[in-house]
Amino acid sequence: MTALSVAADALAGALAEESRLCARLLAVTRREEKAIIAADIPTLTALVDEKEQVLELLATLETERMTALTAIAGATGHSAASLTLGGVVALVDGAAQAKLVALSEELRADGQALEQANARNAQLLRTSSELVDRWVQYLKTVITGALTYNPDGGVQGNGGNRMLDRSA
Amino acid sequence: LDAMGRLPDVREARVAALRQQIADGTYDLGIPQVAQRLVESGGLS
Repeated sequence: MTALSVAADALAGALAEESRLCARLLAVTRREEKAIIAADIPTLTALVDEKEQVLELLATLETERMTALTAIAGATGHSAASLTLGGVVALVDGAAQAKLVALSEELRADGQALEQANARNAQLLRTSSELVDRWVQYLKTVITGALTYNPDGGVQGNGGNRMLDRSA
Repeated sequence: LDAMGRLPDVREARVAALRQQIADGTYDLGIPQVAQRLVESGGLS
């Protein structure tokens, strides 16, 4: 395998994983929509943690994607700063090219679906002032509620959702 | 960092920041930016 094909494989792997995580984030966003409609504040709060975890993983993958792009640029004499996915597609051929094209389309569709679902939830929240007030009050209770400590020194609050203890 | 999440000060600051974002309508966790990046990175131009 050439350095280019190894790096193109790594790029495809990162894009596939990004797409998988984006689908996961989209699923969480859809659960959030249901929770907003049901005014289920504990679930809404728990979903914040879940979304943050997926976003952290996506940020890590962004680094992997950039590393692969840099390797491809190095192997082909291109500038890493200006090398796009379209540019990479033009550098590879056959199955690798078809895979990258399919992944790019998938990623774009995933991103658009996520954008729309998130905008829908934001709009729902904007028009649900009572829910927002209750959620804010709930979080005030979470902050001012009794904090207890586990035997190992960790924090345990009332309610037991992961917003209170990320190690759970 | 995970261990820091168990400290009361960090936890309270995190919840307070979330509460503020929900109250002032800016709660989005950066998802619009991430989604936009995915759309752009998926573009072949």
